[in-house]
Amino acid sequence: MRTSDKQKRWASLFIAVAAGLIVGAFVRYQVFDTNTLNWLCEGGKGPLWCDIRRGAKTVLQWQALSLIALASAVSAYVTGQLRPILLSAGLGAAGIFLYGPELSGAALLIAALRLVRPLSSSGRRVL
Amino acid sequence: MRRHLAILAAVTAAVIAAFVGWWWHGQPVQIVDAPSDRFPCLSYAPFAGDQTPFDESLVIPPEQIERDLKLLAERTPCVRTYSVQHGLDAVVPIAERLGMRVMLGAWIGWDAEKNRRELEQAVALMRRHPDAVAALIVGNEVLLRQEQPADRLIALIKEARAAAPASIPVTYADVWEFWLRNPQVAQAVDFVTVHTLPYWEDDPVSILAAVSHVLAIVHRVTEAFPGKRIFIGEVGWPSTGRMREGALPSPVNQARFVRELMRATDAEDLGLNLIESFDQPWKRRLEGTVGGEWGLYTEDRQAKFPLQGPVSDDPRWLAHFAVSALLGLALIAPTLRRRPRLSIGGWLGLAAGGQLAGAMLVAGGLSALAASIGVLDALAWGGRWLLAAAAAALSLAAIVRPSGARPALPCSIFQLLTWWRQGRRPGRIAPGIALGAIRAGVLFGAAATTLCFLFDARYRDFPVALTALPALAFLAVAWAERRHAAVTVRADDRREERLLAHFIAVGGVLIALSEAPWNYQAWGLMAANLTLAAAIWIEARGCSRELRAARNTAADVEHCTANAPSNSNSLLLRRASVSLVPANSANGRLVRRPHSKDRLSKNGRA
Repeated sequence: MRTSDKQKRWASLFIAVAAGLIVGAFVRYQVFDTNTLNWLCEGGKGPLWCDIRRGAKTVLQWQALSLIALASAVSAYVTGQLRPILLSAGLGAAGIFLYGPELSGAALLIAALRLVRPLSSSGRRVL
Repeated sequence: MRRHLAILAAVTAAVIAAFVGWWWHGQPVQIVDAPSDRFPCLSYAPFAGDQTPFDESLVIPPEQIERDLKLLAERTPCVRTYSVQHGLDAVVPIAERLGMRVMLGAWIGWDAEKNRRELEQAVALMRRHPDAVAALIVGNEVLLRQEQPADRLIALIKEARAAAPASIPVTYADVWEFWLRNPQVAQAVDFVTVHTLPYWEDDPVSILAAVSHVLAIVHRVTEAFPGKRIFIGEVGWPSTGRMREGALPSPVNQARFVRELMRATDAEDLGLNLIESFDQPWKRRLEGTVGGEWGLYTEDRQAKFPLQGPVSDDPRWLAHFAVSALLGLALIAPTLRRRPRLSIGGWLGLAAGGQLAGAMLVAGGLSALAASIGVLDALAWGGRWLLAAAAAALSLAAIVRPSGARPALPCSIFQLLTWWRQGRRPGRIAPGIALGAIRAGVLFGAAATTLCFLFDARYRDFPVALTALPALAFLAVAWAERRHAAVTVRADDRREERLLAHFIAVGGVLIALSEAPWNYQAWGLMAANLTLAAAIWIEARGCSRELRAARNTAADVEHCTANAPSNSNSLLLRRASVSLVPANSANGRLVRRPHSKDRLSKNGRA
C-alpha cells in the first residue's frame, strides 16, 4: 500500500510534535526542574552554567519560546511550506512543557490547521 | 396586542424561572456548628494585592500586621508564621501586645546563608518574647520541595534546639507522607507537625470523607512515631477553584470542613492549625485560582463564613440574578426589535434562551474574575466571555429571523481567511461573517484549552460555562439551519472546523477520563466540547449529503445555487457561488470560474 503525500504530511507533523514534546519535557524536568542540578547551583554559588541555566529558565518563563513558536506558526501558515510548518509545530510542542502552554498550544494548532490545505512548494504566499 | 401579551408573558415566565434558579443556588445550607466561635490557631501570611514573598526587597509595614492581628485576635488566640523576613519579625511583639501566641516559623530553603540568618533572627525573637512564642517551626515542607536533604535539616533543627529557650518546643512541619519517608527527622523534634490537605492529596478526597481522612492520617502518623505528640500544622479547604476528582472548592464545603474538623479534633484532643487567615493572591501564580483561596477571610479581610449557623455558596445571588436577567434581556432585545412572527412557544424559547445565556455569562464572568491572575489570563478569560456573549446574541438573532429573511450560517475559517486576504471590506459585516469569525475564535480557543488541559491541567480552571454557552448557541444554529447549510456552503470548506471539532471531542473525553468519574466540572467541559463538535458535524454532514446528491444529478453548481435563497448582498453567498464545485476538482481551494447564468455571474465576483 503506497503512502499518499497527505499521509506523509500528517506523519511528519506527528513526528515533529512528538519530538517537540519529548525535548520540551526532557529540558524542563532534567535541566530546569531537577533537584540534582538545583543542589549543585544552590544559593547562586555554582559554576558558570548555573547562571546560564537560570537565565534560560527566566527567558522561557517570559514566554520567549512560545512567542517564537507563535510567530513562526503564523509565518508558516501564510507561506504554506512544509518545513516551517513542522518546525513551528515542534517548537509549539516543546513550549507546552517549557512554561508557555497557552501560546505554544496556539502555535501548534495553527501549524496543524495549515496542513488541511494544499501546501506551497515555492514559498510564495498562498493564503 | 396579543403579540405584545405573548412576549410579555414569555419574558416574565423566563425571568421568574431565572429568579428561582438563582434563589435556589444562593440558599443557605444548614451545616454542623463548630464547638466554639474561635479558631484554635491560624496560619498567618500578610501578603495582599501585589505583595509577594518572591520580592526580596518587600517589607510589610508593622501597621498592616497590627491591623491584621487585631482582626484575627477577635477569633483566634494563636497564629502560625512561616518566616521572619519581609518584616514578619514584627508579628511576635505585636501578637504579644494583643495577648496572642505565635507558632514561629523559620524559613529553610536552598541558601545556607539565608537559613542561618533566619534561625538567628527567630532565636533572638524567642529570647526577647519567650511567653509569646508557642513553638519554633524550623522549616516548612523542606523535604517535600527537596531543598535540603534530611540529614542537613536534622542538623539545623538540632542547632535551633540548642539555641532556643528550653521552655519553647522545637518542631519541623511537612506533609504526612514525608514524615513517614523520613522517620529519622522525628527524633530531632519535640513534637511532629503534620500537614494534610485532602484537596491536594495524590488521590483527592471529597468533602464527604475529608475529616475522616485527616483523622486517619493523624492516627497513622501517631502509630509511626509512638511517644511523640502529633500536631496538625496545616489543614484546610479552598473556597473557590477547580475540582480535583471529587473535591469541590466552595464556601459551604470550606465551612463544613472547618467546623467538622474542629469538632473532631476537640473530641480527640488534637492540636490544630488551620490554613489560613487571609486569601493569598500571590499563590494563584503558583497553584492557579485555588491556590489563593484557602483563607478564612478574603483578601479584603472579610470573614468568609461564621462558625455557627447556615452558610450560602452565593450570598450575593440577588445581585447575580439582576445582572443575569438584564444580560438575558439585552441578548434578545435586537431580536425583539425585528418583530419576528412566533408562536407563544417560540417566544418562550427565545426568552428562556436569553435568560439561560445571561445566567451562563454571569457564572462564566465570576469564573473569569477568579481565574484572571495575570494579563495573559485576563485577556484569555475576557476574550472567552466576549466571544460567548457575542455567540449567544448573534445565534439568537440568526435562529429567530423574520419570515422570508435569508438564513445566516457561520462562514468557514477558510472563507474568512480568503476574504481577509483579498482585502474585501464590506460596508456592513454580514451576520454569517460575524458568526463565522466568532465560531472560529470559539473553536480555536476550545482546542487550545483542550491542549492545555491534556498537558498541564493541575492548576487550570474548567471554563465550562463559557465553552458550553457558545457551543449550545452554535448547535442551535446548525440544527435550525441544517437544510440551508447544504446550499450555501460546501463540505470541503469546513476542513479546519472539522479538524478542530475532532480534536476537541477526543480531547474532551480524555480530559474527563483523566479526572476520574466524580469530577463533574471535567464532565461539563467534555459535554461542552462534544456539543461544539456536534455543531460542526451536523453542518458538515448536511453539506456532504447535499453535495453527493448534487454530484449525482451532474448539475452540481446549478443545482445547489438554484436552491440558494436569493440575496445579492450576501458575501457568504457570493463566496458560495464560486466555491460550489465538486471536491476533487478544486482540492479545497476557492475556484474562480465564470458562470453562465446571469444571476450567478452578477453575484460571483471572487
